[in-house]
Amino acid sequence: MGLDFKDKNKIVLYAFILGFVLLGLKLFYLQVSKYEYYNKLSQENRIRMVNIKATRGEILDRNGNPLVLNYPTYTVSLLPFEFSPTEEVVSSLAELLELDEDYIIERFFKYHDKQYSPIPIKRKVDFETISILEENNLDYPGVLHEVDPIRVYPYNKMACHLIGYTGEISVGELRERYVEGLKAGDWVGKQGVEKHMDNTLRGRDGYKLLEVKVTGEVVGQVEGTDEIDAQPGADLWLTIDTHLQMVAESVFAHVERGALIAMDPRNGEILAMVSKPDYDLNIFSSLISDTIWERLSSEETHPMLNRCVQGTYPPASIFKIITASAAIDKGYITSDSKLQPCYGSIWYGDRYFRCWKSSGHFQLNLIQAIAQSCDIYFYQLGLRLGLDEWVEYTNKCMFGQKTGIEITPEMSGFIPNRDYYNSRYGRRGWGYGVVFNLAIGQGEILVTPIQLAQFISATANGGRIFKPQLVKKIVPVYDSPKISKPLLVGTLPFSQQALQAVRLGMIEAVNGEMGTGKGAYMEGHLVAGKTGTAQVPHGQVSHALFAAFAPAYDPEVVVIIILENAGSGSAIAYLVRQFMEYYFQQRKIEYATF
Amino acid sequence: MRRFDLIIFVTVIIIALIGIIVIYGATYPSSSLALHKKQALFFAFGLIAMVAGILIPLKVHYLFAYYYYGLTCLLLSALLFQPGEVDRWIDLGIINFQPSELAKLVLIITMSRFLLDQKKHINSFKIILISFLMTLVPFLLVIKQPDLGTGLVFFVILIVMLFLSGVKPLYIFVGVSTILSLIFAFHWIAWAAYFVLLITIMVLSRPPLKLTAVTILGNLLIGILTPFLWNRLHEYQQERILGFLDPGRDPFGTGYQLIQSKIALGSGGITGKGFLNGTQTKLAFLPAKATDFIFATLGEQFGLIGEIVILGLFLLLLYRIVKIAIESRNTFGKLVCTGIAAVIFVQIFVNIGVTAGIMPVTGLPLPLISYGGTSLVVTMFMIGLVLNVGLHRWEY
Repeated sequence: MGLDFKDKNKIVLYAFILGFVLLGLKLFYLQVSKYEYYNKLSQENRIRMVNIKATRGEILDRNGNPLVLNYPTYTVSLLPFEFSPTEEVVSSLAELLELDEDYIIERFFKYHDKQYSPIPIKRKVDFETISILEENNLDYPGVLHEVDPIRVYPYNKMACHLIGYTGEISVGELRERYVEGLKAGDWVGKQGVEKHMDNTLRGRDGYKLLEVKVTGEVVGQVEGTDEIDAQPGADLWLTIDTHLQMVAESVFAHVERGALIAMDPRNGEILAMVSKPDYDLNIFSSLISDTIWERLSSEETHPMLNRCVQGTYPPASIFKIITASAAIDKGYITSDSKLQPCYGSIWYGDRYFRCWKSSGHFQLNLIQAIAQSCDIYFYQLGLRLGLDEWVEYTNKCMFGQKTGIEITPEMSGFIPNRDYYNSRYGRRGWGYGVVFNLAIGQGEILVTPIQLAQFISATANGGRIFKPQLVKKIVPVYDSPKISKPLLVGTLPFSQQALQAVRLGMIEAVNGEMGTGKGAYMEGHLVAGKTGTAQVPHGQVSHALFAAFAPAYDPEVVVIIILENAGSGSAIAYLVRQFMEYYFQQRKIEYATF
Repeated sequence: MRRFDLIIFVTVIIIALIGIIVIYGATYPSSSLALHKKQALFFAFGLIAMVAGILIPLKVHYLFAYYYYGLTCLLLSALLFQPGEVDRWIDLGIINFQPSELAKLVLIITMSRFLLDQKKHINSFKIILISFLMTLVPFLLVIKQPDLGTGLVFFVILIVMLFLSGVKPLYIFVGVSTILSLIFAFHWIAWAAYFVLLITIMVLSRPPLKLTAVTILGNLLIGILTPFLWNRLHEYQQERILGFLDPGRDPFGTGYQLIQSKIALGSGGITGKGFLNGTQTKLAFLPAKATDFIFATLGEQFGLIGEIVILGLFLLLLYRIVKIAIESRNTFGKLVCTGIAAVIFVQIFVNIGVTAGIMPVTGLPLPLISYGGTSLVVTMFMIGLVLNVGLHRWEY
């Protein structure tokens, strides 16, 4: 073999020399060939990094109707490298921009350690103020302004929760997302679709390096640097239908606290979504969003909470659908089966379990039991199923987990199981009676309205569980649009006979003489529905729930309505009717126009 | 005492003293920090370390090599369990100690011993694989910190050590080729050109057919899979990776520093602006101007001439070290010396390369000059080792 140790060391030495020569050449280029240029830069001029803001994508409804628009305004910022917070400058700036002096100083010192990154101090500055700044720019060294669009919401409060608001990136978010290229003063989605789809909507800022004279005059771009264009964010087309959303909002006009979801059971698209109380999105368009947020979130009614995905409620009698289907599926009963008659209560273990109707329902079959929501009937089914089977079916119906809808944050609800009761009450500390409560949807169980919408849609469409979807289309500026497809995430663990029996029960509930949901009856279209009355602790009035779909044999819309502390499910059936009437009326108009 | 290499000794002292002066100039006028005084103190410690390096018999390092290695890995992993964010310092109260600096030397010693012991089967796949894994452990520990620069230095050590101990250059090339393939895979023309080159080299050097097949297939696989996997990442994930590999992409942080560093160098011209007259240095970027970007402040004040003097001193130092390596009869000593020369060289090249804008920002110190106690003391200890080998160069 050729090389001995001496040769190898020589090769290493030659490599060293080659490296030094390379460095020398580059240094020669910088310091001799480009000397004049760099010398001039270092003596006369400064370099300013100019950020080119990417436009945030707009949000439209399914028909291209704008829900969120951008409106051009100016933002005034401080460049820490050039700005020095002398009393004189700060006070005149404060006067001009109508800001507090302390506020300016506080903002400056909060972010000034990133020397070259401008700190926005006021958004929505009008053109007049900007021209004053421009004329006197020598008095305001390091004060910059740039065109910076703000979010505008033509419908104010409408769909505020699902859209969500945007705000200046917080220190915590900045630390977390710094590597994604975000910087102080950036505007990001804070809730709802705006937050969930932030990376799609935001786009990417561009930048350029400008040579700036000491007088503030811009000479031009620094040689040898490229201007990096901003990449605008993509537009989002939602599945929401503005007209239907308006209908839903007007149905909910007098509701104080509650949630409404309308979903297309054929593909999981969300057509309308309302959460009450609500707030006007336009108040978040300025820099002071922190204080507004604090005020809003400290209110007792929690207007910031999107009850459709964050609110958790006991599903109450709506869960009788699961209990019934599971019992049929297991072969314990058929739709004609009659169990022990209801005399208002039933003795089990060491206590009575009551039916909501103290005078009793007497002998019922399954269809009637669903329609009249007889608790005694379902206690007996719960007992036959047992806790573990019931929990297994409920989990297979995808309760207790997030649906993955494009809204952040989302809650997952809670399905108790054997382990939970053992750890909570001790191995012998709980009786089999818990399954009585669970069978009628009461007890420790919690679900979100969006989970109910997903489940009822699957019940209506023959068992296919679609992921609830809010984004219909992503439309990038320089790329072809991406259209989202319905996403099948599972199937209900029930046979078609079981689902058919439930459907009959739900039709009977709305259309039968004795049905609990009679108030939702409408002419011309067959509505199926199930009421729910969720008991709440501390002697408060119950939550009222209603789940419905129509037309019953060819469902194209599912509606979930929950009103907090509004009494029984029967009492809110009229809201479902109102919504359905509007829905079919509007559909007629749409068909007529095509 | 004729065997004592006085040139190395004097050169090192001169470079370190220049370092202290440049640190003073870099932090002037805000020298309230008194970094230069601290560095002078570190220099005193460094002299002690150097004497220790000369006095401790080389045999001791040979015997304890694996203990050093284990201890260093423990220290590096201790960083990961420190409270707060992961970084590269261990807080010892007054002094901050940076284990990754020590790791560079320890890896040289460990590799030298291992490869020397395995000299007979040096070209076996098993030995090469083990030495690769020995490098990988500290590499993974430092890139967690995150300190990609130091991690890459470890691999340079591996490559140089393998080359010196007689592993066929072709095998080393095969190993490196996977990384090259990964880099070139981002553009298909570049990758195609690289692939043709690879095949040519493989055919010309006539290795066993199995090796050729594995190499070419492996490269092909990487070349095809990389763009595919890359495109499947989200944009922000890609951004994360690129930001990790090249922090200069952040235009408002490191990127801006780079521009300033180029202006500082360029405006220094041939003769420089004079000591303490650097305008860029005074205005712009603290704290890196005394550490990672110190060469820019040097260039601004002393110009191309000053830089050539420094580079000349470094080259002289490297030459003398390699000379000792060639003359020494002790193979362990030979390997250690050239390894040390390689580590010093890589740090010089990367540090100045970053400052001049021909490499991504990696945060390696300029040996003997950058502010930093651990780096100075460890480097001077390395020089002590070299002088030690030089003293005993005729002993086996």
